[in-house]
Amino acid sequence: MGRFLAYLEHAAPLASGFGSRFSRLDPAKQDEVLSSVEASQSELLRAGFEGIKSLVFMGYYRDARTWRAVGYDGPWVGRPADGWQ
Amino acid sequence: MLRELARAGLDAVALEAGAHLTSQDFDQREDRMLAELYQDAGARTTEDLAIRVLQGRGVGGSTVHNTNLCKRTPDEILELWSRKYGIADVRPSDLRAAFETIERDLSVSEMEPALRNANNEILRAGCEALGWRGGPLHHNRIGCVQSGFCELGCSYDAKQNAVKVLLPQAVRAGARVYSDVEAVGIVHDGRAVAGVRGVARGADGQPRAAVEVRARIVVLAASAVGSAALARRSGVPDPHGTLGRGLRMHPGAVVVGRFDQRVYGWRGIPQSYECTELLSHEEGSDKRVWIVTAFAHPIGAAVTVPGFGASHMAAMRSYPNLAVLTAMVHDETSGEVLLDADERPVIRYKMVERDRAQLAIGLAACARLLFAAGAQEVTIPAVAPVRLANARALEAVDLSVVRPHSVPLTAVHPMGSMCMGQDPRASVVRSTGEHHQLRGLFVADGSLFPTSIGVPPQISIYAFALHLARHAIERARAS
Repeated sequence: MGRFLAYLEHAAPLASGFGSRFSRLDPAKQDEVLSSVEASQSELLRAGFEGIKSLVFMGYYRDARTWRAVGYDGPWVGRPADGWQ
Repeated sequence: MLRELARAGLDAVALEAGAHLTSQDFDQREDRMLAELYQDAGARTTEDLAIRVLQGRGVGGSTVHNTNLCKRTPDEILELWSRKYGIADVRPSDLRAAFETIERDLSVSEMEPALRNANNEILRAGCEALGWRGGPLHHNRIGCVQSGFCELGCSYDAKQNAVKVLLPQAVRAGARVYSDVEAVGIVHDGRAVAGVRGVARGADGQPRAAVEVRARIVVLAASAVGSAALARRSGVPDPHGTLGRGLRMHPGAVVVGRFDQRVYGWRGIPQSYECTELLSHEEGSDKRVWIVTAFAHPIGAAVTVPGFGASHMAAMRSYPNLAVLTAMVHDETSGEVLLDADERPVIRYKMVERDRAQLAIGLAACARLLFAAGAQEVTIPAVAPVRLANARALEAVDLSVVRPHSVPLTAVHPMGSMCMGQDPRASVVRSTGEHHQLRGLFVADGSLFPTSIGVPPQISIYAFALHLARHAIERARAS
């Protein structure tokens, strides 16, 4: 995973024609880089993308603030009387 | 098996690498429970990363997180094992008593329509609209409150599973169960077993003490992946190179339908209805697809929904309106369990074309069922997602996109890495469950199966353990 992150930061932007590291690109260009990795010919790069995606969504969708946005009412265990905020 | 050994008056000891968790520990949160209840914290995959492999960890194993589906081994499969693999005493009539016993022990019952959630109602409606074969599933629950969090452990202790029902019976009969002790080696001299070496770990996962159990028989029940891996790292005799081979995964992929009405697919019993229109268990069948529902909580759903960013969020906003079906392939592909340099299991599995074609047929069938039940739009998650506006659009789809590394695959029923058989050159254990070469080593899990069974294996595994227990007891007494 560390090696994939290094690839994403340094090599993937070059492969998409950008001369800057990933974290310094604007969001639209970052999306372009991610899209090209997601649809890469390389099974390893695609798997790396899925790994990162899993980690990010694990963090994002564990949060009650996200649950509300997608209409999920959350766990019953420990649910506050007025629902998860 | 543990209960049977203890009831026979033997001094029976079980070692479990994971923790002993109970209903108070299950908080219905995916991020925490996946890490607690699944091997490799839910991140186990095949070696080539194509298939996510969900297997249980902890006292009770996969019966803690499974969705309680109870199906017997199909008669055609048992007949095949008897006829082609020369396994003795496995005709349907030989197993009947074991099936009846375990179904009674686990209080197995049919799920009546009142227990069917909207996602399963959509599957039923699809089957009826198309005139396809389908019907209610059986389960082992008592006191279910239909919270829908089964795959994260039951907070209401409604699962009549190994940890609630069978292990307490074993302990009452005198068995001892040690959690947080990982079996790391089978002690043997190449001809007979002498015990098991283990490592006891603290809550932090660090080794605390070495453990050795001296025993006349050793029973492997660590799953098709874990049992074969432990046998390999123990140097169990393998003169014909059969150990770890023959692994089946029963792999599946999902199809998502978006409906006008709210489905709230995460609510209620996750799986209560099946479509068997494309499933026949005859050898070489070209109908090898089992279709059930497969709704996930938000993290699982977000990982499966294609894409990222704004388009992903837009798709997730229709989460309450989604219904999800899965097609699982009764597979012919033969995989293998190996070890890496750290002696951790490696799962090698390259799906053969005949199985890939079945998967494509299965996903197309899922799409048809969803449209027949009234879906507005259907998506097959893939690297280039297949989006369909109606059932006719399916005809124009190139289903070669349905393949490993393109559609996300999941396997929850690995089986068959130490298979039974008469011929020692083509199998690992005898019809009695005892290893061909190593006296006193028995197998009592899904590793035994020489082919896929094409249905959830928990009842088959329990029944085979009951069926083979007398041989293990005889060996223990004779040694």
